[in-house]
Amino acid sequence: MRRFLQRVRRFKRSIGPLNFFALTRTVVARGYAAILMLILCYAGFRASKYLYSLVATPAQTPAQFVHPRDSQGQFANVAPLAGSSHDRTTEYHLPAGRTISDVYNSCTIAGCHNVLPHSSKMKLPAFANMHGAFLDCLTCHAQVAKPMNAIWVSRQTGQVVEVPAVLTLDKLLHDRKDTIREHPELVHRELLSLGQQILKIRDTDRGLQAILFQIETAQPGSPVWRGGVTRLSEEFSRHATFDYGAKLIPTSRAADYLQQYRATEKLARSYLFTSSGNEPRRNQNDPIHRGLLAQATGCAACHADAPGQLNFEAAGYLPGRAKALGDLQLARVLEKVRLGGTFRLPTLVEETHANTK
Amino acid sequence: MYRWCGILALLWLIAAAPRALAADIEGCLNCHQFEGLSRPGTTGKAVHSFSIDPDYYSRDLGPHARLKCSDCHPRGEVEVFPHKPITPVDCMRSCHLTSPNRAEATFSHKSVGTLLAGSVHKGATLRRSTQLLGAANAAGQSQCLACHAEPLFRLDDHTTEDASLQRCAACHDQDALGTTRAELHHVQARTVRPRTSLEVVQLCGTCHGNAAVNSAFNLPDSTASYLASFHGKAAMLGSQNTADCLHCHAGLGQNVHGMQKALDGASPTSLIRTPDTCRTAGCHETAGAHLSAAAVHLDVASTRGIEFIIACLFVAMVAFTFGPSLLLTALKLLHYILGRRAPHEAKHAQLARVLNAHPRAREKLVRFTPHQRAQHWLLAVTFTLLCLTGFPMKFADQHWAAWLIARIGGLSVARTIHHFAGVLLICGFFYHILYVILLARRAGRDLGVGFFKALSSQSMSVGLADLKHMNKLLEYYLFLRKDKPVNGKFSPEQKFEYLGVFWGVFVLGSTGLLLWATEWTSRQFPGRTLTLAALLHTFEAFLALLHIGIVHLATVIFSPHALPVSRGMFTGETSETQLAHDHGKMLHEVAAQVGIATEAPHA
Repeated sequence: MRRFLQRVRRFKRSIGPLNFFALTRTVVARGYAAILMLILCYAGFRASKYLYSLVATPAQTPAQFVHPRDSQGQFANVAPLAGSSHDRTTEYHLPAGRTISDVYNSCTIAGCHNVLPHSSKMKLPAFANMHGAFLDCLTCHAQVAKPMNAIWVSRQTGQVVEVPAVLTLDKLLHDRKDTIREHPELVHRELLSLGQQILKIRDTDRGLQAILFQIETAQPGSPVWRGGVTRLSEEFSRHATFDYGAKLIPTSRAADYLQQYRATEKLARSYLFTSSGNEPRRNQNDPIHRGLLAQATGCAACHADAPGQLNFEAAGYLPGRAKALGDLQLARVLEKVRLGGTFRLPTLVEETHANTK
Repeated sequence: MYRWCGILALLWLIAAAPRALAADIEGCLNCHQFEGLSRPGTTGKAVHSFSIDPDYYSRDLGPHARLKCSDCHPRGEVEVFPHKPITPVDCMRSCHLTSPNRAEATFSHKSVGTLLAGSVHKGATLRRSTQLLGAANAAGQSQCLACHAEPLFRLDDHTTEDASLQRCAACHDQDALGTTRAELHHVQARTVRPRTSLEVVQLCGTCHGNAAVNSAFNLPDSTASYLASFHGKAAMLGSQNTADCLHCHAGLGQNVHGMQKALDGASPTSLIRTPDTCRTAGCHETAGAHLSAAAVHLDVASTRGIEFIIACLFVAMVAFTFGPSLLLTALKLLHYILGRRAPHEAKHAQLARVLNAHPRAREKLVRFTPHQRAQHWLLAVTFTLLCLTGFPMKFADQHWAAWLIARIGGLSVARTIHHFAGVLLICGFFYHILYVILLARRAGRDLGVGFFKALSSQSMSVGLADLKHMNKLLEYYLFLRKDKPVNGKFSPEQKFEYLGVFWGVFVLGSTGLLLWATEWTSRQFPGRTLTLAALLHTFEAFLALLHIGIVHLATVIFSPHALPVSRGMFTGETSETQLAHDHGKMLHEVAAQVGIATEAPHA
């Protein structure tokens, strides 16, 4: 004890009279020196390692210059290198980035169903998966009253959103033709705002970017501005290929969509963590799929039957387009294919088309 | 029945299809334009996407946009819906193109196939390579896919293009405009390279940077060695003018598909043709034939030649110069952290206070004159500029390097800054030599001694005594002796650092000038001079950075004794703590000069 006290006294003597500021300064300075020493040692170590590797290890290709590949040996979807003038293509016809993610999808997010849930075991899987880009699973797989009203839910937030900008812009271009002609300044801002909203979703769409740039930089009503708007109207359908940033869901299911999503996700987790093949697991499976149809409504239900299952006009489509979607000749053909038939694309059509050019 | 349904459906689809899709006369895009048209493969591991970018066709974004789908995909397979299993596309098939005069022309890649068959990249070689890469191509797929993805035109700006086309629209109808757009793209795309230098390297690196492929064909990792070379680094930093694989291995105006082995006399990289390849128009036109001996593929570790010896010597030099400095600095900091002080330090601190209060002594304690400070600032600024513009080139594969070069304004701007900062540094160096000579001459006159004697009496001159002094310091910091040797105006580390600047500027300056004047150097000296100059330049720069960036910063500028920062280069003064700690002998000398009695300084 005496020795300890002696040590304390000696320490006190060494630091002098207890001065808070002096003590703080000492601690800060020594801490600074410690940090400096660590940096120094680390830098010295890295430098030595680098020099050693330079003379001892053969040169190796830096990782960013090796094309990563997936398990199938295919080139992975890599980001373009700095200075690259265009997006890298991973496959023929398919520029990188043309994929649609659906964050709030309780069927796929828990890992129970594939992100592309319709496999090649069924008929027309690609068409069914394509509908997944703008329809929630419940729209086809839930038992709902006919005709069904549907509203839009954001694929990124799971919240109910307004009619997508793509459809609103379509409506603006169609319904307000007179205003565009007579008072272009009244629609200029709205037109650009909707265009920008679309670009947020379709940021790789260089064509749309160019048209919007033309409209934005021109005086509303000028020939250049009108040229841009005309091009937008003509080419619009190419920029509205289903990537709306939102999906349609039956109105009756939309109010508590996020709650339902979380509840289903919880149930799915519990189901997945239970060992397979036993009774509790089977019991957990039922509430997840209660009220769902294993066999979805077919193409004709929405696109051919009268009245159609989905009210397209209420969902925000233009009356003309809603009518066309509700009476789709192709859907009738596809419905036959779905039931086991095939059809041949006749050469006659191509020849006819060529002759009319 | 189905047939009529199909006809009706297609007639309706084609009539309803937007004008922009008119190029797709088979109507495939009516279904395939939609995003998300995809399904998992039969094994469940791969995803088959059938979505096609309609922009590709409607805006003619690539050369294949003018083809019908059935030009590549056998009609018998795709005309039935659901489609039959699709045979992989054979790129050697003939297809039909509509020429500007609207006549139909037949086109085929067969000539390319023939050329490829006689080249180093034969079908068997490509097949074996793709196998080694993990079957990147599916069975039966065209070998072209080993290198080529969907060909896309590199177009500058849609807006400019639209403006050009609108002029055509004044006279021509819409159908003619469609063809004009295709022709415009076709010509415009051929005025720029389809791939950037770096993309070419990345493409070739798919095989040539792959260990399995290199091992199977007994090849060195030429991607790595290229990227370690001058050209590779420039390519990594975004240069479009630097030579990539095709510049040398295909040669100017030659078809890349006919590339030959370097051993083949016809190859541009054969021993006999390499000098001319380097001197191709647009590359090193005025260079000497020796240039081709410079290392275009640089791998120091694998080269057991003079390059390797130089590298080893420099590593040893770093170990024997930077090593002790680093050790000494770390030990100094350790002593500071532990609070260990030399016995005489308290007395020196007191003396420093007394001297600072004395007006004449205070003047004498100023260690750097404004003239010296100006020279130091010139050195500091040029050195910083050289580091900022030079080290991104040395470490070009690091992400920060590309970022920094982009901030500076691109590689060419960085190079210009580097060159001129280098010239300024050399000028400053010669000016300093002149300054030292004049200083020594004046001192010689004042003291009545010869020039060399006066030079060696300068406070920054290094002598044998400094080595002994350094040894004692090391012993003290290693806790092997209790008394700390006392420094004068400059410590031995500072003197060695000063000497290092002479060596460094000489090496960096001379090699830098040789590299800058590449063509001249290649005419006067053997080609390997450039490789050696590049090695010496980067190694010496690295050594300088270590000394300045680590030791000088930690012991002088941001030393804990001079917190927060040393004032030496702003006012020329040194803090009392630093004077007491590092310059005890100088304190005693100044005290003697102004007539203040002190105890004799420690040895």
